[in-house]
Amino acid sequence: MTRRGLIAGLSATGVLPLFSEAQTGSARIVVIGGGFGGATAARTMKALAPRLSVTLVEPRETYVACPFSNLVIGGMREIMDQGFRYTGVAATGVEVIRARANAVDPTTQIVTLEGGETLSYDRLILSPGVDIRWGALAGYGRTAIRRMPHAWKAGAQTVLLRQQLREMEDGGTVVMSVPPAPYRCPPGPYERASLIANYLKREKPRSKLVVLDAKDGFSKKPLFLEAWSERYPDHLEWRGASDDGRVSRVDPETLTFETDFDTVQADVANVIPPQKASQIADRAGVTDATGWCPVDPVTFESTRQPNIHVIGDAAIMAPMPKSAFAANAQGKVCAIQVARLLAGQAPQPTVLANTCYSYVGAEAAVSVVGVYRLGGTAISEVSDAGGISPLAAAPAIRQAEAAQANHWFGAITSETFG
Amino acid sequence: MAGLDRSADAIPSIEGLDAGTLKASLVAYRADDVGDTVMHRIARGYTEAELDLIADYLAGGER
Repeated sequence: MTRRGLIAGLSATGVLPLFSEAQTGSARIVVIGGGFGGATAARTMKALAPRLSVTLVEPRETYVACPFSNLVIGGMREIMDQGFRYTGVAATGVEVIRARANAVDPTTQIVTLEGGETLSYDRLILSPGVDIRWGALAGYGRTAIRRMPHAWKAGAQTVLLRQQLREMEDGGTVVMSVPPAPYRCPPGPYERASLIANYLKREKPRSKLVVLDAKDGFSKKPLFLEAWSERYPDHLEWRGASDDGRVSRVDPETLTFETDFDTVQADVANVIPPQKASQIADRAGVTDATGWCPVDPVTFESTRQPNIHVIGDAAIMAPMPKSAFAANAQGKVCAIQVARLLAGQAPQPTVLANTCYSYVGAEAAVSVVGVYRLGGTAISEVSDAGGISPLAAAPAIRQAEAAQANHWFGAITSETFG
Repeated sequence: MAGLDRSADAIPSIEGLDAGTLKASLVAYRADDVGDTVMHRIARGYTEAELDLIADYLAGGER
């Protein structure tokens, strides 16, 4: 590792090299998944213990961030602004391998890449994100995503949904379906609904968005309902589960959504489908019957396979949400705990925070905060902390949180990707 | 627009602040019962001793 690379790693993460080779040995750390969790874990690992071998396995040359991708759908941001390359991560001394991981053998501790190459590990950090749970929503198969984009993994799907909105004639109906929890980014559907309604109000004022929701309650609900009644009374209709909002079947040919008692016709259809941990987690044997990955609340080590740690959206971290903020924090903590374990030190309980900003209009955002104690056998939310932005706040408060959201995005992406 | 950046509204930099200043700020956020910014909501989740540790780390960790 070059001195320049080391300095770059330190300045980006603020982490000092606290572990020497004598403490950690020359262990091999493999990280699968270069999102907010995995890239952060790899960089922090290298910064904490520069003599460790740290390899990041990620198939994409450019990562496309989900946070702020709803602004692209709403026509307020370009998809290029969502892309991040791995040159900054590689400059810190992390070996970045551009490949998909096809298999993990937890017994021999070997990762097999798509080309057949193998990587052996002493500790594996899995941060693979989510996959769509195909088959969980009747009618929504792999070919449906062209006609009914999910846009729940940012990239081509995001662009497709935006294009369909642009091509829709004024007077059309946009329909969005929202799955039951848990899924990536709990307030994401409602931010997206706000920004689609904002687009329709501005560009296609005779059009309307109908949100069909499998739930009655959701993140920041009072703030979203307030924003919708103030801003989009004629452009956004939300139907919760008790108002026949739960979608049981979709038809990509006819662009229809079926609920228990109704069939809703769309001109543009956005299906946010049920999700699960990404497939590589199944192959590593770390998912349970829920499709997600149970972990120790202190070290994030899988409860099903030793020496495999799971972080980010794929892991069961409730009550922490599946968010980029949480994944980034878990990435840092996971690296610290792995270094401590390698050095023969006891893992330490931690206190983590999460903040999720959601735009409700072009220059207005709201937030939710949670603080979590990770120790013993559980993750618990601190009851007298956190909470949502004030209701009935002055426009300046919403504008300030939009500016903060923008700063947050710059900070977390530069910390994660360099 | 998403590019909005009003310096008065956005997140101020804490780079270069000493531990004493950081501690005083964090404890003030924690002690303010009616404040409703993100920082108030976060600071309430930590003990004063934990805020001290955070301030020391932030003051010393990044040079």
